[in-house]
Amino acid sequence: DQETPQSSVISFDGGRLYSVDIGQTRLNFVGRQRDLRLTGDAQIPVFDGLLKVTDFDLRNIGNEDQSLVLNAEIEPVSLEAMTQAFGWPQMTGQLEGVIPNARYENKLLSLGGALEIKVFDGSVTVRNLRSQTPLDLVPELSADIEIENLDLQSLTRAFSFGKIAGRLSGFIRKLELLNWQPVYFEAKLATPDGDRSKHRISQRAVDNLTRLGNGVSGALSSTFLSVFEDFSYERIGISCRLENNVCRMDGIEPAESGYYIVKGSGIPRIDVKGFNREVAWPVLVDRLKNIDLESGPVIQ
Amino acid sequence: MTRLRSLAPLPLFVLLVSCVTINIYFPAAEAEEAARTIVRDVLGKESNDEQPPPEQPAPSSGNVIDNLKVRFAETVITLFIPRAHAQANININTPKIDQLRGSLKSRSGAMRAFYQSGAIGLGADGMVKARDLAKAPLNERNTVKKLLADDNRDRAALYKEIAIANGHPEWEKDIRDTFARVWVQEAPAGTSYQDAQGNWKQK
Repeated sequence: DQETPQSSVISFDGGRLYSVDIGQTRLNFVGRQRDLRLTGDAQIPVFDGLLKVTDFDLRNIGNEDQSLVLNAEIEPVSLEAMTQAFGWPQMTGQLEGVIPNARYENKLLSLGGALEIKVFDGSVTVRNLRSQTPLDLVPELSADIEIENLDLQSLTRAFSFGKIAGRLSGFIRKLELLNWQPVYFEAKLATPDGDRSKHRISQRAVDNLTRLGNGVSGALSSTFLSVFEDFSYERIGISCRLENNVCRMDGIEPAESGYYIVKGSGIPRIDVKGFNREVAWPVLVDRLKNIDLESGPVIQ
Repeated sequence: MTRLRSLAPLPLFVLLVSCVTINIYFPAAEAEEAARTIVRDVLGKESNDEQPPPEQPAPSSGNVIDNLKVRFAETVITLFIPRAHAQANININTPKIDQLRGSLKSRSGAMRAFYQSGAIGLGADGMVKARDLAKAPLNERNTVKKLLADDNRDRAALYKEIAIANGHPEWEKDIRDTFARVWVQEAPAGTSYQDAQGNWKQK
């Protein structure tokens, strides 16, 4: 009788799926015709954390109108394990989150809720993650990302940019990735308001910032300022709206011409000002890649 | 207090000059458009072609494009139709630039065959290079050398002139880099060009 639901069990000892370590798992399902539903909770060990699935309801498998509803929670997975497995620069912290309502319908996968990544002593929260036709050849994702109080010293160390001490907050909203390349976003990264941490920027970091703009380095090393290893700053910040391969740029405050990216303090004082508001994004990305190649591990 | 690298006494003038500003000129999007206008003109192309913007990853199946259109209606239109011509902050309309542009254009017909045969190619520095002169017929080799010399003289003058005409001589390298990229992007298939490491490739 095809109408009678059949129950079945999927269990496995563990393994690796796309570089993700998965532990011993037992899942109870009920199936009927083209529908498959999880009964009871499922706990899937992922690295040193846990993926807890409370609902998994897959309908019309294989048909045009197949759909999935998923409710899950990620109990902290350490970033050391993840970054090592994916071959990324070593990061410490953890990933956890609640996915209260993930849906796959009409070829659109969307995650309600939020994924919070505690990293660099602050947090990065990913909301409204959506993926269109995830099974297709050209992956395409969108999300809103909030960034809170990251410790710049650990961040710049992980990416070998040149030491900057202080904190960073901001956002990357309405991010759209096509084939893993950003094609649209509204982003801002800056010293948080009222931040009281120590603010220092090294000569190397200033050199790297300069290289991003002018494509030539050594702005400071050829002046008397080369005797100073680092400088104090009051605030740092940059914002960019990417659209059509053009990045509309801004800093923390306007200057008589251009905009401030670094506002220095103390003596000697270094200010870094940006010029050109409509910036060619592909060129900027090329230069970012070159900075990593010259001074630290290659980030892909 | 900032840390000093050495214990040598601070020169007096450091105390006098206490504030330094570093200016970063980000690569202007207008430079891309200005370069593209000139390059397309020199190569004899239509100026308002429906070309996708450079560096855009090309979708590998028509199916995805349809889905993109459904999902991102407005975004597709802006992705695949180039921005209307520059509300340019870069001025390319001076007599000297016009003259250089015209000179490059009138020479480009004569150079086309030598590009196609691989005798000459585009350098990574915005100049034309001799790639393999043996590929040019013996009795034309001197012609090729002269074409190269004349074209490079015009190119160097063009990049410099655009920077000066816009009141920013320091933009010359940025403009040269932008042109280098755009020359390669707009070149017809079969043209040889050098990558950043100096290796020869072919379109």
